[in-house]
Parts: sequence; structure tokens; C-alpha cells
Amino acid sequence: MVFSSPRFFVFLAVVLTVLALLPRGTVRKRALAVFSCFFYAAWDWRYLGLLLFISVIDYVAAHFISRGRHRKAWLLLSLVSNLGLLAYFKYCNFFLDNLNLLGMWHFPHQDILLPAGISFYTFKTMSYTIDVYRGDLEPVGNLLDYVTFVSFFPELIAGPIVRASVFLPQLNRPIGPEKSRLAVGLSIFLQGFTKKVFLADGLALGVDQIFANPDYFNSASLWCGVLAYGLQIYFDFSGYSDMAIGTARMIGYDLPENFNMPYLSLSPTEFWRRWHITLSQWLRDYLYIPLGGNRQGRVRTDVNLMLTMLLGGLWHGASWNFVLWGALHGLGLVVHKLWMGWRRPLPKILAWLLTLVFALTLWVPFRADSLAKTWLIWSRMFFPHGQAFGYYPTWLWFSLGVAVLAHWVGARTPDLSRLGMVLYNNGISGPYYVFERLTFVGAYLLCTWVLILVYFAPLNFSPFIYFQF
Amino acid sequence: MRKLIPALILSLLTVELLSRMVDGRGLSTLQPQLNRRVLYPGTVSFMNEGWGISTWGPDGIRQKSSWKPGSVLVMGDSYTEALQVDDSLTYNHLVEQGTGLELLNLGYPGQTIADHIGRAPFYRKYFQPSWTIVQIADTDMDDYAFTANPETYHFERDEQGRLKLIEPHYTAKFGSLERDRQVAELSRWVSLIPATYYRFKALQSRGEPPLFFAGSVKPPPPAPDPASFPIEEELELLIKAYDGRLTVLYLSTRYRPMGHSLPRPIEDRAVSYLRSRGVRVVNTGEMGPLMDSELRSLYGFDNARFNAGHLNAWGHRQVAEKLTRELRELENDGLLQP
Repeated sequence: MVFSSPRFFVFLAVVLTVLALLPRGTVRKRALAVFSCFFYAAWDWRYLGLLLFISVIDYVAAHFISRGRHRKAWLLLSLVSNLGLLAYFKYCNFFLDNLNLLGMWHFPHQDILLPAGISFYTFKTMSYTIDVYRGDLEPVGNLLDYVTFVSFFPELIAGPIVRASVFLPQLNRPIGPEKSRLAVGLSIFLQGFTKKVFLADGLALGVDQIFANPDYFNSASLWCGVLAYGLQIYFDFSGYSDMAIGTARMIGYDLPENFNMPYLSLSPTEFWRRWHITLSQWLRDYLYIPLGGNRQGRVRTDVNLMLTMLLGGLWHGASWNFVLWGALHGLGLVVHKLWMGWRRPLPKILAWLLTLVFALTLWVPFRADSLAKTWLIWSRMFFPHGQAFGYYPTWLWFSLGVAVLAHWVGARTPDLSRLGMVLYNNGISGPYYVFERLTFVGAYLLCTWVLILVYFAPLNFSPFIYFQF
Repeated sequence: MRKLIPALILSLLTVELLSRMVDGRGLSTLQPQLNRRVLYPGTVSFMNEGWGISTWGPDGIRQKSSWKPGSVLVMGDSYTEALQVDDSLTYNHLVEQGTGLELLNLGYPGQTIADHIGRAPFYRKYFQPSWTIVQIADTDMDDYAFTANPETYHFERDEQGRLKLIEPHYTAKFGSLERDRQVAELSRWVSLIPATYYRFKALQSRGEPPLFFAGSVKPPPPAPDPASFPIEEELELLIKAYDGRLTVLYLSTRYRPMGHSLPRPIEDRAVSYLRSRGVRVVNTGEMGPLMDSELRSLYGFDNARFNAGHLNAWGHRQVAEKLTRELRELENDGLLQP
């Protein structure tokens, strides 16, 4: 059930209606858990058992960890269960294929279907047991509350990765649709929906063609393709996050901010503070810092950074392209740290340009389907090849214009009250312009916006890019 | 609510304007004398693929509100109709400029070789052309020409196994044809929103997003086995329908850059048969080296696909150059006679 599909709109309307009709209190939370399980089962009912199984393991493990008996063993059980599932479902064939390449064995390819959202919910549940182990969080007293957290449908499939410490305290809030929640939630959802169906999907065809046959195209076309993919993945994933945040807000919960204008970053370090923020923070708190962080000398810091980013790359998918992507981002972070130790910061415009080119260039291994294609694209991008065709997707220029305007508004935060929009910031989800009180111009803009979406939007056309992870 | 209703009305007007900008194609009507649908007379622009402004006359002829007998008739499908480029960029217009002859562009989407055969007797009598150009491509002779689309001519086999031409039958969507025409007329004057919405959603249901894309995003089906279609029989009927007084413009779509071109079994078979029967052929399949050297493809637009979809402005120019040469030769040989 893709967020941009009519089926999801019906599902959301039913969820909100039922929540509104039920008495306030625990019963609404239980209904929400049931709806979340239904939402997950709609992808593949067989894997709902897996989700519930891992929830029970982590719930029990955290319970015993908090009691202080065999704490390490229970933590280990939780980590092994989560990482074991991830390793089996996501990386099994990758490891077998690579072992086969050594020539000593011949393991047959396993027919394994990747459970939707497994990378996201395993990280979520691990954060819970680790936080309980560290004493940062009290364990949940009720298994059903814990299932509500793990299965919460707006962010179940592709994040944002909500930490238990952020979500569990909210479970005591009264939930259900209210006028102000709906206004804010729908405004945020609408922004995400527009990013996805209008911008990201519009860019997809040009990107697909350029990455399918990069040898046809000249250097300028490949740069356009890479820029288009940089925008596509941003609009696609941040659009999904907005829709998740908006949906959660309509219900009454707040999800953490996942993107903060990443292409305005002035360094690779800043890029990772703005891009997929919940993953970066997860990797920082549960991998980089436990490895020693930056407290054990420069070399060890660099090694820790590289390791974190390599694993971060591998988290995205079982392929050497993702490993390369993670490794080069790690290298970028190391070089940036070294530079900051040796030299003054670069002028802002140069730092921005370098960071942008760096981030865009590294989308190539992320998108290309092989290392050979990655190399071909890079070589043509940086060493122009005259004998090739030009193709400059028109939708890129429109999307680029929208991105520049949106970033300008995001950076300057002008007063849009004449349009009926106010800046909403709850301190968790990040700032959003939302429709609060409709002026005539605001009503006109909103109606036109919705009508254009209804009219032109290719509903249920393509899945979100991050669903595959 | 006092603000919302006027705002909603203004929004609807904005969307109406947008519809007319991006989807002027929406409406067609039946031209009873020609027994086919034609675009509404007037100006349309089209943004699905490319972006063109086109003017259509009452007989469904592009840029012509009237015509003289003795013109060159151009039969074809959407490639000839060419909504993706402006009037002044179509190959028909460019050939007219290059030769001084009058060309009647009767291109309409979905027409196959069956239509060109079936319509020949009446068209030849009605338009009295001095020559006919018939634009075809691979898909015009394969199963597409056998698809029982009731609104086009198509082939069936009779009891003896011979090709039989089935006439179009208009199963008007809104009841009678007259009512269909009235509804279309009303939509045109009142609002294009419902018609365009319906068309967009129909496109989406086929996996074709309405804006800024061309063709299906689904992978193309495997090319049909050329041996299974009676290509020579179909072409023979075409030659007979025009008494051999035709030039076939064969639009080859099997070109791929960088030496990746695909095999062209249907095209090779069709072109060699036509030439063996003495029919004049202009084949874009021979333009591969030109495209390689110019690093441009005849097909595709930046707002749609690369090297796929309809002829782009450069493609029209190249086709026009070839056809201009062809018509000059015919004129010099004294073959252009009504």
C-alpha cells in the first residue's frame, strides 16, 4: 500500500474515522496497532509473523535486561536475533555469490523475498534494547504498547527510523484526529505527496534512460542525469518522510525530522547531518560512538568513520556498489576532518559547490546497476567523450526550479501568513509551512494545488526508492 | 466558506486553462463523409511528448481549411499527424516548401495498413490526388492490423484463408454518433476538465503517466515473429488499392546508437518486397549512419524519451529532405498526375 495510492487514502480515512469514533484512551492505541499490522500484512501477510516475533524477542530481552540478570546475554540475544534476520533476508545471497566467486564452492542462489521495511524496523528495535541496556530508557510495561511502537504504520516501511526514546513517551498522549492535527498533518502530507508524484516520478523516466544506457550519452547529458537522480532521490525519500510525518501528525504522534535541505551543506560532515538524519544519528549513537568515536586519536577516529560509513553503505543494499558509495562517503568525511585540522575552512560558495558535486557524483554507484557502469559514467562525466548523444530531460529544469525556490523559502523562512501559511515546528519533526487559517489567496493556492494533483498525478505509479532497502 | 467557494471557482478556471494548454488533443469528432474521426477544427497544443501547435481543417487535414484536386495525399498514423511539433516543422509542411506542391496530411493515430487500403477507393475519388505517400512502420503490418478495433479498418481471414478487410464500426461511447458529437461539442465550450481527466486516467491505467512522458513505461513486448504475419499479402493489397501510384514512407524504429541497432526482420521483408514490385520506398532505416554522424536521433524529445516515440523536429527535417527529393523525381518523370 504505497502512500501515494488511492488504496492508502481509503485506508487512512478508515483509520482516522475509526479512531475518532472509538472512546479516548488505550482502546485507540490498540486499534492503531491492529491497523498497523493490517497495513504490514497488506504487503505480505507471511512476514507479519516475523515482525511480531522480533517484537516479542526484544520486548522480553529488554524486560530481563532491566531486571539486571544476565544483561549481556539478553542484549546479545536481541542483537543476534535482529542482525541474524537482517543477515539472512538481506545479505545471504550477497555473501554466497561472493563466496562462489572465490571458486572453491558453488552455493546455489537462495530464493529469499526481502521482508518490507526489515532494515528500518530492526534498527528501531535494536535501539530499544540498547537504550534499555545503557539505562537510558525504561522498558515498556506492556507488550501491546511495544507492538504499537514497532509496527506504527506511517514509518514502518521506510522510516524515519524512530528511536524508542522518541516514540515511547508519546504513547501516553491522547490520539485521534482533531481539527488542528488534521490541518498540520494534511499540509505536511500534501507537500510530501507533491514531491513524490510530481517531482520524483517526473524525473524518473529521464534518469532511468540515462542510467540504462550511459554509453549513448555525452558528458553534459550524464551530468544532467546525475543531477536529476540527486533530485529524484531527494524528492522521493524526503517526500516519503513528509508523508509519514504528516500521517503520524494526523493520528497524533510526532516523527523525527529526516531531511534538512541537504544540498545546502558546506561539507560532507554537514551533509550527513542533513541527509537521512535518523539513520546518521542511529549510526553515530549505536556504531560510531561505541567503536570509540573520536576519543582514541586521529587514526582510530578515521578508521571508525570509515567503518561506520562502510556499514551504512551496506545497510542500503547487498551490493558492492553500496559498499563503494559508503566507503567514498567515509573517505569524504575523513578528508574533511583532515582538512579542518590543517587548513582554514574554504570560502562558503566553494565549499558548497564542492560538497554538492561530491554528493552528486557519489549518487552514481548508488543508482548504477554495476561497478562497470559506475566507472563508465564517472569516466565520461570527468573526461568528456565527444562521440555521444545529447539528452537533457526537460523535467529536470522544472524540478530544479522548484528545488531552488523551496530551498530559498526554507532558508529564509519568509512570512507567508498572507497565504494562510504559518511555520509549524514542534521541535521533533522539523519546521514546515502549514495551512492554518485560509485567506482567499491561500484557499485559491490550496484548491489549485489539490486539483492539479488529482488531475495530473500518476497515482500508484511507482514505488518509493527506499522501499527496496 | 465565503472565501473557499470563490477560490474554488477560480482554481477550476485555472485548471481549465491548464487543460486547454496541455491537452488540446482531447476531442475528436466523426467526419461522416470521410468515415473517420478527425480532430476538432481549430488550434491544439500538446505536451505529452514534445510540444506543438497544430491547426486542423474541417476535413481533418492539418493546416488546410480547403484543398485543390491534384494534391499529394499523405496517409499515415500519429507519426504523420505529428502533434508533437508545430505546424511549420512537420515533414508535410517542409516538403510543401521544398517542392511547391500541396500535401494533404491525413495522419491520424492508430491507422494501420488496413486503413490505408480500406480508405483508398473513396479518398482517391474524393481528393483526386496526383500521388499518394503512405507512411507505415513495423507495427502497421503485424498483429496491430488484425486487432479488432471497431473504429478502424482491420484484417480477418475468410473461409478460404484470404485476407478480408473489415470496415470500421463506430460504437459511440455516448450512445448515438450525433449525441457523441453533441457531448464533445458541449465539453469543448463548457469545460475540457472531464474529458481530459478521463483521458489522463485512461493513459495512467495503461502505465503511461500523462505529462512529460511518451510511450509506455512498461518494457516493450517482444517483437512479433515476422513469419507469422502475411506481410507480402498486405502490401500487395496496398499496391493494388493505389494502382501502384504511391510512395511508401517506411519509418524504421529499430535504430539504436553506438552500433547497438536491433535486427529489422519485418522492415527488411517489407522493403525488399515493395522494391521487388517496383514500388518507390523512402526508408528511414537507411539513416542510421546519418544519425551516428550527426549524433541525433529522428525520434524522441527531451521532455519524453530519447530515441523513442514520435519524430522530433530534426527527424521531420530529415524525412522532408528525402521526400522532397522523391517528389521532385516523380515530377521530373511526369508521374504526378491526378
